[in-house]
Amino acid sequence: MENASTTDNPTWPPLLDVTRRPMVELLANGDTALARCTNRLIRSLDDPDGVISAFQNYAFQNLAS
Amino acid sequence: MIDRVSTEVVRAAQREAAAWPYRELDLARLRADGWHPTPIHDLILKVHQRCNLACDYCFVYTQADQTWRDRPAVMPDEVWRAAVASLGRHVRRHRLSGVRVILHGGEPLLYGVSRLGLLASELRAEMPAGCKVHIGLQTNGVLLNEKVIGSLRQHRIMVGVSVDGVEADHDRHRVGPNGRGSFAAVRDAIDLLRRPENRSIYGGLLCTVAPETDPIACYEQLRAFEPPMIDFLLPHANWERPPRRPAGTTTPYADWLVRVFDRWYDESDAISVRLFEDIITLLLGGGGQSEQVGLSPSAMVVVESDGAIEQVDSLKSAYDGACATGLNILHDDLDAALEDHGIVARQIGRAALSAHCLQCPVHQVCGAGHYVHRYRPGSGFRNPSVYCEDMRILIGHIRDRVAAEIRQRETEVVEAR
Ligand code: SF4
Repeated sequence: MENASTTDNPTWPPLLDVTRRPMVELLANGDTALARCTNRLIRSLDDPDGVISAFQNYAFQNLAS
Repeated sequence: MIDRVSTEVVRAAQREAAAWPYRELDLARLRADGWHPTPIHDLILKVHQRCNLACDYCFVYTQADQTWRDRPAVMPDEVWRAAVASLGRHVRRHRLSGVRVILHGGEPLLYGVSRLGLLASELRAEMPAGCKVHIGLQTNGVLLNEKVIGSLRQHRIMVGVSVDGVEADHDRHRVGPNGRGSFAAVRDAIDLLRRPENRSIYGGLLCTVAPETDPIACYEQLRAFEPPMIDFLLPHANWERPPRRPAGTTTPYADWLVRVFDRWYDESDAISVRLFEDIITLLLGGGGQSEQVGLSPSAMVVVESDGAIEQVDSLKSAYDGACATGLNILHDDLDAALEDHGIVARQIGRAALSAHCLQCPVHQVCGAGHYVHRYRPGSGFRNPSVYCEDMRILIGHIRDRVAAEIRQRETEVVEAR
């Protein structure tokens, strides 16, 4: 089995640096798609359970994380 | 009397059918490396095996796995009670703060709303205080009327509806046994769900992508239903049975989704679209919440009407018996499912990806797509998605749009100083 931690390939870096608080807060403002996703990202940082993938064949938006 | 297939027989069949994960995933090594399973958060109860529609793409009835034929049409009370009790023990053991129970089928409303209500009441009573219980069902909508919706509301059962865009497109695939389309009935049902008194149980809409249809007309139709969320599903396909691609197209699914994305992204009051929001969140550096993209662990099992504990039934599109674990809720604990190689393979993120995907710059976002779409006979589920090119194009397009918006906002900030 491959060990993911030993692979070292170029991947796209995240588009947002969450340590840049003023920029993150600015993007989280409003009701745009980007604002909703930035808010979701901020909430997930505090989620002790981490983000879990939910059942696809059920239409419901889990806003908890 | 419910027969029990031996777990060993099932595991031997799985090892034969799919080298990854059943022969190649080294569970002992994973554990030695410090990996821990993610407890079950989504329990899907197949309360009714039959359906009142006969959709031509349905993975339950028209694809490789036909195990539904041997199961009770209706889930006996002893089965769901065993599932509820087992979930209660699981929640206590793992101190879960919330779980979701999804009533599925076939068509779950064939089970009858009074029985669904009883199930919901006993389920809530069984869970420990402090554990949030979300109960929902996914329906084709045909049986939803005022009385049924009233009862679902009373029992706080959320409702997701499957609808495939405009009437002509929907009715091409989603037909009754008489061949007649179901759109009119679904539209009436959604109109009821949209009423202010019912909105609290309106979960959202699922739509399967059909590349030969007009994507904007489809999106506008779904939007007109005012759902809290929409999700677009890629049709189930794999390397043995690739997706339909209209002549002259190479990435028709990406092309279709890109057009919807652009319309949606440019709207100021857009409705949530799970697939798009998942991709944006992943691009920003967060985690995905659904099965189609990302590397988040899947924490879901299905309980079939005979009590069989299975993986999600979209795997039925791969091969006969692909969902099987050999476990049964009448005899086995939910924790036993966390030892199943098929369940584990969906909880280990990058370690489940093929070498090809690990070399791919978008793998953190794509995650090799839906697990089901990676299947190739023999090698199993450690392959790129059969939608690989579509995924690259869709994700690349969304990244360009989001990166451009972030750059523009940064410029505005600098200029305002
Ligand atoms: S785009 Fe293709 S190669 Fe890249 S992670 Fe997805 S399936 Fe794998």
